[in-house]
This record gives sequence, C-alpha cells and structure tokens, in this order.
Amino acid sequence: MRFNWGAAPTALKDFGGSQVHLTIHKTGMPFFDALRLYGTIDLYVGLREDVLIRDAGSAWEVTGRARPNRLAGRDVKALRQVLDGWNRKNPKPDAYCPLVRDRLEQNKPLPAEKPGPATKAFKGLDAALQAGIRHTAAADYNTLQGGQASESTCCVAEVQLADGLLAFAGKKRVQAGLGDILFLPMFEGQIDLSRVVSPLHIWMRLSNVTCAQVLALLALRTSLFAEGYQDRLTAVVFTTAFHGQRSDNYSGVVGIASTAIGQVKTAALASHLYRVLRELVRAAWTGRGATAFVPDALAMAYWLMHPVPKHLSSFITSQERLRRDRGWRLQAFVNRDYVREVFEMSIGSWQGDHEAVRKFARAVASGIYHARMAGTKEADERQKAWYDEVTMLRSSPSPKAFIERAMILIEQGHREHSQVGTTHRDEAFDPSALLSSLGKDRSSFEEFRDLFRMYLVQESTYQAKAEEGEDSGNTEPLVELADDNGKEEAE
Amino acid sequence: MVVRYDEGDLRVETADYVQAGDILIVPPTLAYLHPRKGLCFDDATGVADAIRSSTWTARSREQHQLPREGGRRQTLVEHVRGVMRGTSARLSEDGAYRGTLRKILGSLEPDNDSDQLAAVIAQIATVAAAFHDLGKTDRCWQERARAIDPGFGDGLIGRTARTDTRIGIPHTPPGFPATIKAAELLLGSVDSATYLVRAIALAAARHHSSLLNPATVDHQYEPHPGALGFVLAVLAEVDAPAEVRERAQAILEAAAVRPDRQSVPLLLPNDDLFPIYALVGRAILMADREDASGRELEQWRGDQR
Repeated sequence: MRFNWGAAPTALKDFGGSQVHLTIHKTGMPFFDALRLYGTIDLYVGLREDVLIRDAGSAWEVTGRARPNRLAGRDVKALRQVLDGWNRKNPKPDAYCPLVRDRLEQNKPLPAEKPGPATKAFKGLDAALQAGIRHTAAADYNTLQGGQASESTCCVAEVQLADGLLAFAGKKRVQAGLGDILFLPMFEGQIDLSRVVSPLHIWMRLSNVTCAQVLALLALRTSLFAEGYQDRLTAVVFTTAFHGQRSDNYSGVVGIASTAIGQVKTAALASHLYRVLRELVRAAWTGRGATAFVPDALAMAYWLMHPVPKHLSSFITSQERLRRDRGWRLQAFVNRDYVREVFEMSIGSWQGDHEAVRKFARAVASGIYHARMAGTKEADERQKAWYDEVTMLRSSPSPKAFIERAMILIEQGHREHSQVGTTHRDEAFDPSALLSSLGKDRSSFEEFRDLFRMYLVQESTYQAKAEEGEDSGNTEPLVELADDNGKEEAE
Repeated sequence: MVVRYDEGDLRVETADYVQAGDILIVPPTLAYLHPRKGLCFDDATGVADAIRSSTWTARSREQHQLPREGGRRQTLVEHVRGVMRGTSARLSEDGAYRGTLRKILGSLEPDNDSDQLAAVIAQIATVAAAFHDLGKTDRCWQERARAIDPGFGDGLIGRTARTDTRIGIPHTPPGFPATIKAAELLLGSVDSATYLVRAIALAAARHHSSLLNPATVDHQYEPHPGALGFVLAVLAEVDAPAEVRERAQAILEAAAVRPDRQSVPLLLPNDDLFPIYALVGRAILMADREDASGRELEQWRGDQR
C-alpha cells in the first residue's frame, strides 16, 4: 500500500458533517426549556460526541457537527405524530419543519400557527403547562365558588407548535423519576451525548421533594465521575407529577454550584454520600409512612443543598444520633478524608490543625470506650453511654469546660487502658496545635467543636463496627466502612 | 427445533416461535447451506451447490480457539510489521473489509468520496496497528519477557516462545495516545476527524479486551532504550515524511502520559462511528492473530470467496 499523507487532510475535511449553530430561546419554564434543548439536539444534531452546549442567559446555544442525511425527516416524523394526536392536518410538516429549523439556525420568525393544547403529545412537558398556578380548584371563578372542578375545566396552557415539537422530541430523554418527580440533567460545555443518555437510574418511593432533588443531583454527579463529566453537570431541572387530589404540581431548576454536591472533589466521597443518603431516605419513608429517620434524612439533605455551618451542625447531630441508634450503619463520617472535605465545604477558611484535632478526638473516643462502655454488657447501654458523653461535650458552655471534659475522659480511659492517649494508638495529639485550633473567639470555638465532633464520630466508628460484629454477628453493612487507617473497605 | 438459552440452561426443544439468540435446527427440506450465500430457507430443488447435510466432527481444542499470545518467537518489529501489513491489506485491498468500509462510509458521509475516505482510514488504521503493541517497548515488560525467555536473541521481544506464563504488565494502553500523536503529526490538524482518530486508536488498544479504558490502567509506561528505534522503523513502514520521523520521540512522550478520561470515547453502539470502530478493530485483531499463528485464519479477499 502506498501511503499518501499529503492528501489525507483534504479527504478528512468536514468529516463528521457540517457545522451547526442553534439557538433555543428560553421560555422561563425550566423543565420545558430543557426538553426543548434536548429535543433540538436530537432532531438537528443527533447523539454526537462533540456537542457544545452554552447557557447564554435568555437562550441555549448549541454548536456541533451534524450529518444531514442521517437526520433527514426526523422533525417531519415527529410533527406528524404530534398532529395525528389531535387529528389536525395543518400545518403541513414538510413545509413547516424547515421554518422551525430556520428559526433555530437564523432566528427567523415563524408564521402564526394555531397553538396546541398541552394534551396528547404535548402532555407531560412541564407541570406548569398542565395546571397553571391555580390548578383545578380555581380554574375559573365559578369553580372557585363551588369548590368543584374537573380536568376538563382545568387551566391547560396552549403551546406554540414549534416549541411543543422540540419538547416532544426531547421527552425521550426522560427515563425515570424519583417518586412522582421527573428529573433531567443540565450540562454545559463539550458533551458526548451518546455516553450520557440516561445517567439517572433510581426507582424508589420518595415523598419529600428536597430529598428527591438532592438524591437526583447526587446520583447524577456520582455516575458522571465515572465518565469524567462531573464538572459539566450544572443543574437538574424537575417537574412533579403528583396524582390524586394534590394540586401543587410545579417545575423548577436546582443549580449545582452552590450545593455541597457541586463542591465534592472526589468520586469516593460523592458515591459514599449518595449511598448513605439513599439508605437514609429508604429508612425514612417506607410503605407504612414516615419513620423516625425523617429528621436525619432531611438534616443530610439540607446540608447537601446548603452546606452552611448551621446545617453542618444539624448534620453532625443527626450523625451522632445515628451512631447511637444504628451503630456504624448510615454513617457519613467514616473516613478522615471525608471528614476534612465535608468540613471544608462548610467552613473553608478554618485555620486550625486537622491532624491535632483528629488525634485528640481519637483519644477521647478511646477514653469514652474504656471509661464508660467497655464494662457494660448491653449494647444499648453502651451506645447510650457513648451518646451521653457526646452530648455533654457538645453542650460545653466554654472552650475551657470542653477541654476539661475531654481531658477527664482521656484520663479516665488511660486509667483503664494505659495506651489510651499515647503514640501507641496514634492518639498523641499536639497540645499547642490543638489549643491554637480552638481559636480566640466563640465562633472559632464552635467551628473547632464541630470538627471535633465529626472526628469523634469517625474515630468511634471502628469500635461500633467491632462491637456489632461481636454482638449480633451481623456483617451486612448498609454503607461502606473505613478502617481506622482511613481506607475504605467493603465488608 | 431450537437450541435456546433459558435462565442459565441451554435447552434443545421444539418451538413455535423464534427469539433473538436462538440457534435453529431445521431439516434439509426446509433449509440448506450454500457455499456463497450461507443459510438459505428453501428446499434446494435445482440448486447445484446446495449442502443438505454434513458430518459433525469433534475438533481439537487447539482448532477451536484462535491462537493467542506466544507460541512463536518474534521480535517486536517483525510482529508489528506483519500486523500492519495484514491490517493495511484488509482495509485497502478488494475484499470483505474494504467493501464493508466503503458501504459504511457511503451511508455515513454520502457527500464525501468513500474510496478516498476509506483509503485514509486504512492509513490511520495501519498507524494504529503500528502502535498496537507499543506497550511491549516498556522497559519493565522487556525485562520480564527476557526473564521468561532468556534465549531470545537481539532486538525487542515481540513474542516469547513460552505460552504457559504471563508477563503481567498491560501492553495495550500506550498505543492509544501514541496513535493519536502519530496521526496528529502525520495529518496535521485533524479537526473534525479527531473523534475518528480516537475511535481507531481505541480499536487498536482494545485488541485484547473490548472493555479496556486506557485512562484507567495503572501502569506507568517507561520506554526501553530500543523504543525509539522501533518507532522509527514503523514510521518508515507507513512512509512517514522526514519531519515526522524527526519527531518520533514526541510519540513516545505522548505514550507515557495517561490519557484524560474524557478523551477516551466509549464507542457505544448508538454512536455513528461504532461500525468503523468495530470493523477496524476486527481487522487489527485478525491481523494480529494471523501473524501470531503464522497462518491465514479467515478468507476476506474478494477472489477467495
């Protein structure tokens, strides 16, 4: 074979099709807009490896290469499906679809066409299009007076044919919902849409919208770490589909940038938090209704959504309670790296020494174990003893009282086991680094205390694991654990 | 009758319907084999070459499996040249591969000259074949190979004479970035064909495992002192211009860098380029196997069928 490299670039010119640039103007209904975006890509670009999506504020801009021959007729076919549903013959798809394309490519105005109601093919495009903000109970003044309404009198929006067509084409990307909520991921940047077709695969009962949103975001981000696409996910849009008498269906968008989910740096932590939250949510809402775990699921969800110090404190308190009630199960703080990353998401400017605080917490955890728990046979009693000490430390009124309380526990533990608080157990903390980590004011102390509590839960986890193994022989974990070297292990 | 896989069991049963994955057993009154057309559903009346029956023969295990690693002592250059020629011949000479490639391109890029495109793809595939075993120029790989086969003569080892032992160092991942770099040097800016080049590079890198992701393999490739000579030899084989050969070291440097995960395509069947990826992958794989075994394993030429 003769190799002719000089002619190759010419032969490859425009391989992959012609360049397209499409603009999809937003309507303000996030789910509807997302469907239109993905519908446009499906009809006019295809599932390609090199689609660039840009959020230009009032519009989405899509750039990529398209092979027209492979896309020919897709829009016409989709419009025929839409019109057939209403038994309409106009407009003629062959004449109307090129105009839709021109609108997207060149921003040319569309001719006035009779809009379509948000029914049949246009059903399920967005909750806001189905019911409006008043829904059936207030569809008009008569129904409001009588308190009677039916779906036929419900406020159903009318959708411009071109917009509805694009959204209808985008519906194929909606694969699964969490409970009665449908989600769509929003990406920005260069995306290979053939590999992120449906990254969300969860089927579970979910009554709480916040938990559903957080779980969806977390699931998406976790799965996208595997693709290296975690930073392209910018938001999820959602629409609810509550049935029965509920009239509060709505749609919206949850941006990822300000959440803890958006700040997670490692796939391991994202995946661990996802597993913990999923198990918590499962435990919180069962077939028999809400359980005692609801506050714990919400505490974690709130922190994940708004990782501010206030929510971190509630999250830690919930984790302490779970440590008492469920041992090492459902623990988020199982690894020192996770503790650090979680803490830094809420209090990024902290100037203290993590290692000194961790070793101190480890010494206190050993102190509690040997001074309060080791001699008690009943597992419940042991957990209660642990939690009582944690509560005492948590409610210490001042740094002085806190340190005193902790030192008493270490001292009493040392009396029972001579290696407690020593280098033999990796518990010899640096006193000067510890004291400087306490800070000089109340707010610094509270930050320190939160970090200490997180490390205390983490360093107590391996004991809980050992105890449960001894007591119940139950080795089936709900979440992955960390050994005391900080490495994750799956039992 | 069908042979059907059902919940972990293979069952032979009569069936009144057929489903994907079934193996049909039909009497010669219903179907026959034709040397050119394959399985034909007809009663074969008047068909001269129809094969209505044949004898089952239990073939030995060696005959069932295509030859894999080892078995034939080869230097790396000798082996790779053989694979390059086999790949190039399949994709550039008349036959099943070339014909299929032209059809795929005709459907995918009807506005372009499919002959011209097929020729370029054959060239890029040959470059990919040139680097498909580049990981064998790893210093550690060569040391282990030599420990396994101390009697091997001069030159980089391509295959040892031993079939009963494994070297244990992945040798396929460095070929992916090396092919991309070489294509970049040979073609200049690949622009919209970037993904095509990546797909071909991945097809070559996956010649032992179709699930390999070069971005996730934990081995740092360290070129053997003879690696540069090897790269120069294969570049000469593809008529690389002098300015490209001068930059051969850049190919080795690229091979030593683990590719970014985003740059490795998944090549799912829903991807436009999947057929090209699968075809080129098979061409390289079969050329590799044929060169390893020293015999022809498939009839792909037009005049052979």
